Amino acid sequence: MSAVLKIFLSMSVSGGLLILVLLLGKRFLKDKISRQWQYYIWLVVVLRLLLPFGPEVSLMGKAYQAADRAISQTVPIPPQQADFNTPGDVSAPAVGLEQNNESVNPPAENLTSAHPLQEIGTLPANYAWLIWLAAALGLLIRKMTIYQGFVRYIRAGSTPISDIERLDELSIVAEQSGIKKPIELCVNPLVSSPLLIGFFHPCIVLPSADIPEKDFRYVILHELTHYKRRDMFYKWLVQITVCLHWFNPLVHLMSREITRACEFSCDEAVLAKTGSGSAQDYGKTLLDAMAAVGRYRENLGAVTLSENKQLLKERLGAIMKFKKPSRAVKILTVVLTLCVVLGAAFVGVYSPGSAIVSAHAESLPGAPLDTAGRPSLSLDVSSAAVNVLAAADNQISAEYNSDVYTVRISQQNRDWKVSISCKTSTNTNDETIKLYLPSVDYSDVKLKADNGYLTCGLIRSGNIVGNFNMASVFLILPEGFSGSVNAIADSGYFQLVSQDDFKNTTTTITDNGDWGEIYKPKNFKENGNTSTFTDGTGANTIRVTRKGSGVMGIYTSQSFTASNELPDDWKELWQDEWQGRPWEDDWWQNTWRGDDSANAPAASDERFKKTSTVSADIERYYEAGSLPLFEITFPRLDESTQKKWLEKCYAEGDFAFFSVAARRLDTNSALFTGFAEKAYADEKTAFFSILTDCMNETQLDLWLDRALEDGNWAFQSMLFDKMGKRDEFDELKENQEKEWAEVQIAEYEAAGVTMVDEKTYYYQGQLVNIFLDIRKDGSFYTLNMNPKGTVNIKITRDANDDITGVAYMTEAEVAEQFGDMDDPDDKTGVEIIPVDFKTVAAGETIFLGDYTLSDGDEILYDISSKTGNRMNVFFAKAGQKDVSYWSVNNLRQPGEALECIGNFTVGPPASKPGTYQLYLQAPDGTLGNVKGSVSIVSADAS
Amino acid sequence: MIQKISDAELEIMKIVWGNPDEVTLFPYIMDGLAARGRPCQKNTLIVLLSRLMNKGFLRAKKIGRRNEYTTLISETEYQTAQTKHFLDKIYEGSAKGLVSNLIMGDLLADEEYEELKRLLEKGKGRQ
Repeated sequence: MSAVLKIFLSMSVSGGLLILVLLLGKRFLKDKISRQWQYYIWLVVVLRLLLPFGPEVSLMGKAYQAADRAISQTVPIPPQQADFNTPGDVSAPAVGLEQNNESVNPPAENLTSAHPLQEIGTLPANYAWLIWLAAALGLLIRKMTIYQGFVRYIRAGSTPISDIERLDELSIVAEQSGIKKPIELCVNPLVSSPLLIGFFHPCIVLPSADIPEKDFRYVILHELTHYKRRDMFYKWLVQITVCLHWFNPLVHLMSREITRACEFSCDEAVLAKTGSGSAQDYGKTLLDAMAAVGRYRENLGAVTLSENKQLLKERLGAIMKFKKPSRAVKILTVVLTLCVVLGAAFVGVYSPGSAIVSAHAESLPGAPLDTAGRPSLSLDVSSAAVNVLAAADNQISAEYNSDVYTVRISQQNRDWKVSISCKTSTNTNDETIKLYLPSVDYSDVKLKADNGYLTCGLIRSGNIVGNFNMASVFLILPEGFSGSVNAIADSGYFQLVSQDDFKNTTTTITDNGDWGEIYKPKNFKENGNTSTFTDGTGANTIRVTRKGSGVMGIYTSQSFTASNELPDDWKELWQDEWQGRPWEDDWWQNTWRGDDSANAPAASDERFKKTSTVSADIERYYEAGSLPLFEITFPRLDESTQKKWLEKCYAEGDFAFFSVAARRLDTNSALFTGFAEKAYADEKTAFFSILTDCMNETQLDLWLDRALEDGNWAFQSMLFDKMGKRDEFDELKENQEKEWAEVQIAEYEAAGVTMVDEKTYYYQGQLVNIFLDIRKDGSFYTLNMNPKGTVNIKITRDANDDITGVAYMTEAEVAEQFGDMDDPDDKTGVEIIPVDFKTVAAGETIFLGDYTLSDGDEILYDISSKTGNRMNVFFAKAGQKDVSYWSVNNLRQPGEALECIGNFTVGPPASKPGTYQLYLQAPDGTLGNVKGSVSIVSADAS
Repeated sequence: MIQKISDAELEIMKIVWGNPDEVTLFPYIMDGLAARGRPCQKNTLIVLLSRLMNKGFLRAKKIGRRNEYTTLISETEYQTAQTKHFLDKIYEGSAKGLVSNLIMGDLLADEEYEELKRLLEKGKGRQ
């Protein structure tokens, strides 16, 4: 059955329930409770009838589910399916798929959890909702034309009242009532009682101009009250409701009741204004108004002063009984209002997803598909995390949490449609949905993601059209991809990886976005806001457009290295981190809020509350090891949070993150100079070097001067390097060393030690074996050993590091200082794995052994290959050779050696400790003369 | 055809016609009505003005929040039309009847009579 109609029926039923309750209640409370309330409380019912929203658990939802279940148990043979097949072939319909194709052999094994309610209704219900809609529209149009005709009729026969006194009185009363709009005043002898017409040019029409002053006042007061309260709009809202729910007699009843309540409450409002003392006069006016007899059905749409005799009698009664509400009545009113509103919410509305999902199990079984030819696929993801995987058999199926997601799969003549959405307004992303699709050649593939997360690397052939909005989409084109891609990513993150490096493609990347950027391979030709790349036949067209604010990553398999690919970690991250975080924190928009990171966390170990979306996001990116996203988000943080992150990276020795963050800093900012000072003071050359990359010539000069003044060699060296003045430094160093050596010689000489050269010292005429010159802080000035020597001496220094004397070292001292030096049991903590291969065949992956790595271990690669194009060294977990860790994958650059050199530290966020296998791979052509080593420096060694 | 207007509306038109400026503003009319001893409410005047616009006597040009009113029918045009209507209705189109009635009823002062005579001579010469 059509979902729309289903929802509508449920709304009608729940609204009908409310109407019954209110009509019953009215019998008891008619005179006790405010007429205004009796009028406006219907608004709750009208809204219930018009708005298809309701809480998760509702009476209607439950009722429908129960109905669905009951039917599925009692109706074993839906008739029309049998008609498709051979007569007598008694079988239930296929499951999950709303299957309209005439599959000849429906699978018997898939018939366990049939869902016949959908099937039974399919054919007639397809038209039922059309009939309903047509009737509703027809009714509405009829009502509108009748009203229009009426207004025309009234207006045509009206003569404006030109009596200035009357007009003035109307103006004054209107002003007192707070109506700004001028109201037209007319006389039409054809109307039976005063009435108000016109939405935008309101006009009060009187049956006659000749009415007593007092009556005139009441009449216009009454009509102006209607206008002021917008009763016209209320009336038409009710009329629309009646038209839509034309099949529901209770709704018609309600409409009549509202018309009556409208007059009652208007009378009440008039009397409240004029005071109850005027009740009698007002009642008389009503009676006088009845004296004239109209000749037109005027009770439709227009707001009249009197409707009919019966109603008038009741109204007179109510007017006479009018009194101001007491306190008790007021309280009662509040309680009743709450009851009705809660009641309206509780009866709720049938939500289309719930019944279907709970009828299915966690996994949605599909029917075997016709995979011959090229099927077309349409995948629509809304606020959900979806991972597209290859199906083992030719079935479409999904594993998902039915409490959170709605998954609909349908097929019609090789038109496959999958639509996935989130049932709740705040998605908790309980888990990633695994969507299994047959790995076949497709014709058209429509991918749509609105919010949420989509990973797809399945389409090896097909014309992909992607529309992504505020989503994270990871599209992988497998090797040998044929077809086309036309993707528009509006905000969010879009990543496209071509595993055969855009072979035989014409690729165009267009940047129409505002804030954000595109990472793309270097060999793409840039021209304005487009980049193009053509390879081979160029037959496969890839067109990618960035819109809005977001980040896009276009990668070849080479440029897509360990730093941005962490598939397993992404998955884990998804499970651990993003789980339980609602989607509404679309940081792309929230990042503009500058003030929201004020209460950001000090460090990642504090799982902070959701106070700041930007800082929450940056932590995600940090944990995920996603440098581009981290870099993009970093400048959006406020300064104190930026500082915290820099400090964190600094403290944890996270060079990569520190470097991308530093790149985004203003080199003149206090933050930048602060860290430069800090790195300088801490003598952290690595961090300082990162910062110098951002500095300009002047800044470098200043630092160099300072380093020269401080005699800080390491920094001088680095700064000279940065400024391209290596030679200058070498020269300087040579001179300095010479100078320093001379000073040293003189100093030792004064203490009685003669230095012949760096290796040879004499003390009191004896050749020195161990020569130790140690500072207070434990570092050495000089440590020399000359096995030929006969004495062991040490220099002693005072707090100012001035030499105070020379002494012979005792055996104990020697043992203490050097005893462990030739201890054979000593584990150096360094494991060196030599690499020496004559040749590594193309495509070969050589296993270099299992290694147990723990947090803090350092891995150093230093391997070179004399011939060959490409070399890859990496660790992997046993049995998962395709997921590499700490990999270095290098291509030979023209004129340079092919080398894999690099170092990594084991530990979060990129990796976990454990046992890994070391591999050397020749991914592209044979390697010759591969030499070098891989060293693992244990964390306890240093 | 020029539509009929009520006395209150004519009162307004007279003020607008009497305004030497090309355009007339709302407060001018308001003040004019008060000066003539017929003050009215603001909304009443708005209603009357909108009626005059519907009848094709006035045109309003909205400038910002205020309306600038200009006449579409001149005072003379209106008077001519009214007189013609009056003649048709009372004297069955005969101006002679009207003038003789004016003279017979002593409704004309001597100076007015002389003036009329001169006007008649001029009219003859024009033919």
